Amino acid sequence: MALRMDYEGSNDVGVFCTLTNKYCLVGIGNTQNFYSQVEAELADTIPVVHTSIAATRIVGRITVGNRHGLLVPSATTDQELQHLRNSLPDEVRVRRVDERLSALGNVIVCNDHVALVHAEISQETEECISDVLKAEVFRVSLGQNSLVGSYCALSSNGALVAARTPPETQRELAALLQVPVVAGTINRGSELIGAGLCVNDWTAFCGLNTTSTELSVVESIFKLGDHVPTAIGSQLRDTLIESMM
Amino acid sequence: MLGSYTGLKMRDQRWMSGVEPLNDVLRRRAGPGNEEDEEFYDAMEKFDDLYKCTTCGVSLDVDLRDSIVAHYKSAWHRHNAKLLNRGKTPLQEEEFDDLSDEEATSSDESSNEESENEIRFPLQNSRLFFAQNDRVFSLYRCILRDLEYEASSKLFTRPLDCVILLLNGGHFAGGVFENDRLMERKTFHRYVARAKQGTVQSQHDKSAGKAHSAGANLRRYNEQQLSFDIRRLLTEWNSALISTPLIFIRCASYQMKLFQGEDSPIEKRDKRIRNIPFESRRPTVDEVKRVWERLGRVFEHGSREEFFKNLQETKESLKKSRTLQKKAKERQRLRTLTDSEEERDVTGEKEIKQKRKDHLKSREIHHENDEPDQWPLLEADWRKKAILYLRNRRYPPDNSTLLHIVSHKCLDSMVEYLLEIGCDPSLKNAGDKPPYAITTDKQIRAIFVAYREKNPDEWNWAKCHIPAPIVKTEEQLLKEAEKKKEKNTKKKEKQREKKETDRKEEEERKAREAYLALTDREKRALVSLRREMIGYQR
Repeated sequence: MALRMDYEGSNDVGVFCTLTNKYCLVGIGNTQNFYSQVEAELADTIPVVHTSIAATRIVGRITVGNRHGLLVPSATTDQELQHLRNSLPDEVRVRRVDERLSALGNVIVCNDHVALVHAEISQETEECISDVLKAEVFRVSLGQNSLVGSYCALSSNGALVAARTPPETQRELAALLQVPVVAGTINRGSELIGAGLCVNDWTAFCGLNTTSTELSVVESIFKLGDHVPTAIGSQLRDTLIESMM
Repeated sequence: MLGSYTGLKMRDQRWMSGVEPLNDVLRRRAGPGNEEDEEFYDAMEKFDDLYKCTTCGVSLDVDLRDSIVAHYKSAWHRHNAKLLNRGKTPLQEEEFDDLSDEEATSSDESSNEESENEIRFPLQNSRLFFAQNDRVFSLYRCILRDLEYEASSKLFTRPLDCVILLLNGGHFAGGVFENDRLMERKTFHRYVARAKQGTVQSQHDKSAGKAHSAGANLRRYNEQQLSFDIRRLLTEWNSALISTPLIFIRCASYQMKLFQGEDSPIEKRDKRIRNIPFESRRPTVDEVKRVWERLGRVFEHGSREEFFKNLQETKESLKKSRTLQKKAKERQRLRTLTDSEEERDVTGEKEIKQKRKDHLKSREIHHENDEPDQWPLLEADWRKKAILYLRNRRYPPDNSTLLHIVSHKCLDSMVEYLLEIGCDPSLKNAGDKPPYAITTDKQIRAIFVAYREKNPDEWNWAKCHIPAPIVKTEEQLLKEAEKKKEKNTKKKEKQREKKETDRKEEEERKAREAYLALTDREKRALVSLRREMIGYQR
């Protein structure tokens, strides 16, 4: 089930939220709206952690994680790290990474098995990814966009990449990730997929501006709810009605 | 690539047949028309339009995920990803190889592909690899005798006769093995190493000056006694030492002189002396036995396919880190240096006869070359045959080509001539060396380099070990000229200074002599005069 929500008036929910199959991080804001919406959706299945990273609330852009672990940038304070360790499940490993490209969420995108990374991240970070996140690491760029984390959303079921990604790159990614890859937009035509969308294996949050077409693409490619890829056209109506209610 | 020791010994019935050197096997495997390879390339083409790495523009096989992953992990892909990210055009594989070749030795795929009949891989030099019935084994190379290069059945039938001498600090142990039995043995100990500090007293004296303690004197005396003991033992074992084919010595480099010398049966540059290629413990008789037993071990590397897969993996990992490669290059350079030294040693008296014969042959050809009208007299096809003979003929004992021989003998005009008629400088002899590596003569090397400069595309020069000629830029030339000038001025200055000091000394000497020539009275007068002068000045 993909949900539309906003974070204090911003459509870029992926900036303020990191969602994985084992936990969810949400940035500390002035209002509780976003947090309570997320908690209502997830709280009975996985822990939702309210945290700041390096004293900012853009947790989605500067951290990256999956079921096995979480990588946070070197600017993360000890208190924040301790708070994360306390609130996350025991089997999730948290590691502080000393990477020059410190917005880890922008340069790395991963699911539980594979990680796509920016071409210039350091060797140590790459080792961290394979070690902590237990994912195979591939250095790729999405056509013109080298910030893979900003222009791509990834789960164990599928991948959504920016609309202007060339078809051969999509094919390449499909072979690397071994999941279907589709090009699309989010938030009424935004190419910043990673910023507008956070997704795990059974749910997705996208910005309030997301059109129902975009939403149905998201649901079909990430296999959320009972949608299947062929249902994009036929089920548009249901989606519309659901969002109005 | 260490292989596993599964209890196999050299003296085993199983080695009686079917043993062949690994290089031969590889050469056969990489022969032309290999069907497997063709199939592989067909498959590659089929997938051409299906799946490509968009960064490097290379086709990859979708079904072989390993190959895809390997590609994405390769240094080439990383390099290209970075280039693309910076808005530059990615490199082709060959270009990248050239680039990394410049920085490191070529242990990369493309050179491997093109030179498949010339296998270069990160095999350990200390091991000798051989194959038997599709399985690969290795043993320590150091048990080969002088002038042996490959594994043969002869190697496995004869007993491992040798003398093992271990010396560590003041502990000595030695043993003579004949017919697989320890015939003689001896251990002794002298107090020479500084207790709880390490280092033998004489070494410590060298670095920290002579100590005058009682203990130091005692140790110095004991060291002398130790060398006497060793000498006495060596003379005792004289006959065994002269007849044995191999001598294994483990000691510190500064202790080597204890074993070699005028009255010792072991000569200074004895070709039978070997290092022990593994760690040994405190010298005891048991340790001597253990060393001997271990030297005779045969290591198993699994089937040929497994072996090559391992090889590939090691190669990949080598490729991964450039620093490693750089080190390897350094090591390679050192190794070739030491090897060429060995080569020189190897050409001993026994060979000289053979070489002389070869030499005579080359003289004859040389002769022909000097009188060019002899060639036109030959009919065209005979001429062709002669040239073919010169190109292809291999000579014992180390399977060298004519080019090897003449470059070893430093016959410069012959080298030039042979290169001109198209002798391949990349052919290697049994010691796995091209002609360029065999010679130590600068002039001959210069000839090779000049030839490369003239014909940049004729041979695979990397294989010949011939370096590219160094082209100096104007700037460098200018710099050199400046340096020379500076040197000259410095030299002149030095000379001038020296003259000055000489002159001064001469003057002083004269004054002194004049003073000495004076009588006592005159001297006294002079002194009083001086004193007055000083008082006056005050």
